Amino acid sequence: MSGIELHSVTYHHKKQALFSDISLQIPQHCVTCLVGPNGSGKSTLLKLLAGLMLPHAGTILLDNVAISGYSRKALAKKIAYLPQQCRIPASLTVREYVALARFCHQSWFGGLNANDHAAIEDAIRLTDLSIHADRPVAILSAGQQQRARIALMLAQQAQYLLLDEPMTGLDLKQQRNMLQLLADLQQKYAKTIVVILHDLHQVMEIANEVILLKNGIVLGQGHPREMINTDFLLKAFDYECEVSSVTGNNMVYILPKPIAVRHALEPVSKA
Amino acid sequence: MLRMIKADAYFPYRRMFGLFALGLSLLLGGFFILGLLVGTVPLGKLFHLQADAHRAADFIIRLRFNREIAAIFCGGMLAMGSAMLQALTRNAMVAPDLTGLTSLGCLLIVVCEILWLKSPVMNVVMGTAGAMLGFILCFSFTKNQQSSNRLGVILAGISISFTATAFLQLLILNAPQDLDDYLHFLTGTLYAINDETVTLIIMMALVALPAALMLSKYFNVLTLDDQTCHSIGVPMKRYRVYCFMTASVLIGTSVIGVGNMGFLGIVAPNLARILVGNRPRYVFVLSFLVGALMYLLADTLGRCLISPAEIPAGLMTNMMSAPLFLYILFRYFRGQYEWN
Repeated sequence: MSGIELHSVTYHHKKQALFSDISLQIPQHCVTCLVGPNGSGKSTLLKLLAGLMLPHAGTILLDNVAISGYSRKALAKKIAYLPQQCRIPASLTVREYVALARFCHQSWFGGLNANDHAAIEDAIRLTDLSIHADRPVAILSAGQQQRARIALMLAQQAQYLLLDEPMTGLDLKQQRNMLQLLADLQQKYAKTIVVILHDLHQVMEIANEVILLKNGIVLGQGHPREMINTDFLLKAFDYECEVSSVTGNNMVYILPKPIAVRHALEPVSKA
Repeated sequence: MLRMIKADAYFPYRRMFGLFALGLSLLLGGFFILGLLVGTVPLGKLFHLQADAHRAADFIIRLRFNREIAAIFCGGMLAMGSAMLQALTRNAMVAPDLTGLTSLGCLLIVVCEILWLKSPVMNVVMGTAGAMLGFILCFSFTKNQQSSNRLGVILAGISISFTATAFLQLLILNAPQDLDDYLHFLTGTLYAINDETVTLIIMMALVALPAALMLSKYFNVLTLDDQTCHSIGVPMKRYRVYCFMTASVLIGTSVIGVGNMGFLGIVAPNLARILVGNRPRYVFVLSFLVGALMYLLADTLGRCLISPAEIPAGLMTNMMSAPLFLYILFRYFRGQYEWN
């Protein structure tokens, strides 16, 4: 069975257990969203999936082989990971920056070959950065830099894409483009995508599968319509939300309980 | 419509690496020849000596030739090793002397000479071992943090460096043998360079320089952060060991000529980075050339300025480096230079 599987994985950080004995399965060719409150272990889980950290107990299988059995290069050909924060090198252009992702496809000597160049140009085009390709990454806006990071990860041409909050710093249109890009990657290129999103509407729009996490425990895994509802949201976030479905499409509206304000929308007078 | 602005507009010099390399090499060649001709006994005078003039001239030229070759390789290797060190720690303000690599190298060499034997081979071995020890100490103190931790490496390094220098001075001042034998490790002079040492330095350079250039692809990736490096498939631990060995050889060998004077190591790579941007392969080559040129210049000036007395080349480079370093800082604070 291909895909990523976690078998009774335990991971602790500074002697505090983050995950104890969790088992999961990430389905192939789907968009899986990790949803949960801050500190629920979403990022850690993603890093475990990416092989950046190894579990203290249990195994993570990637295409039926334990993740620790892959060499770094072999793993990078399969899994690309977008961290929450990255360092942007000051003196590289977007194209040079994206080209670094080809490291795992290169040998000790030899430069970039035609395949590499094609992958780089594809990644730049898909992230809509063509006009910025020859400008330094460091002078781009935060949203453009975020797209450059995503281009870097696409240029790796991995089957599995793991994204840790890819929407950070993107404006409305870019967020829509990003969603579209993720959807395209899944549908046209049959990629397997695992993404951490905080906007539940976006989750509903794009996810084929939702994993709900809280305090390192999997509250549930399943179709977004089953997972994103009042009960589960209350369990996960400890906050009441009204979830109303819209007939005709997959969308739902999630309306959190309004906050307690005595004089809503009126400035406080300094008496 | 958005105007298309090419990278050259932002980094005006980045495509001129070849020109810089050629220019620096020519300068290096020029100063090399000049250095052969000047000194306490100018070459012109050598030919007017009556008896054995030929042999005397030969002897002096050979002496100067050795010194200059040693200056070029020691200065260049120190600068290149330091450029590697800076890339490894992702910190452009780290230098081999600041992190205790050179002082530990000197210390081990002197200890070995006093306690055991005195030979160029042992000097190279001990210098390299010292640099490696410095690396290990520095990185073990900052192990639990990210390698990009900027302050940790420097602070750990400074304490190592101070301690090692203290022991070094204690040993040298109480040395049973002639003080002069060891004093050059404090100030860095090429006075005592002989044929055997020069050959050895060149041999080490022939091993370490190609290794450094081969590793430069890894250093390209290292301009990213650790997590991204991991996820694009860089076996960080393995490569870090290769790099640290190569840098140790570069720095450890250069200690023989440069002694405990490593300010050059902070200036040369930064000058190179100002010229071509932070692109490791080019920075390494240019660092080597700049370092070699500066140390050669320092040695030549040191021989000539107050001849027949000499100013040690290490002191001379430190004097020359300070204004250059201020210039680098000036550019940095005016936002004209980013070093990461």
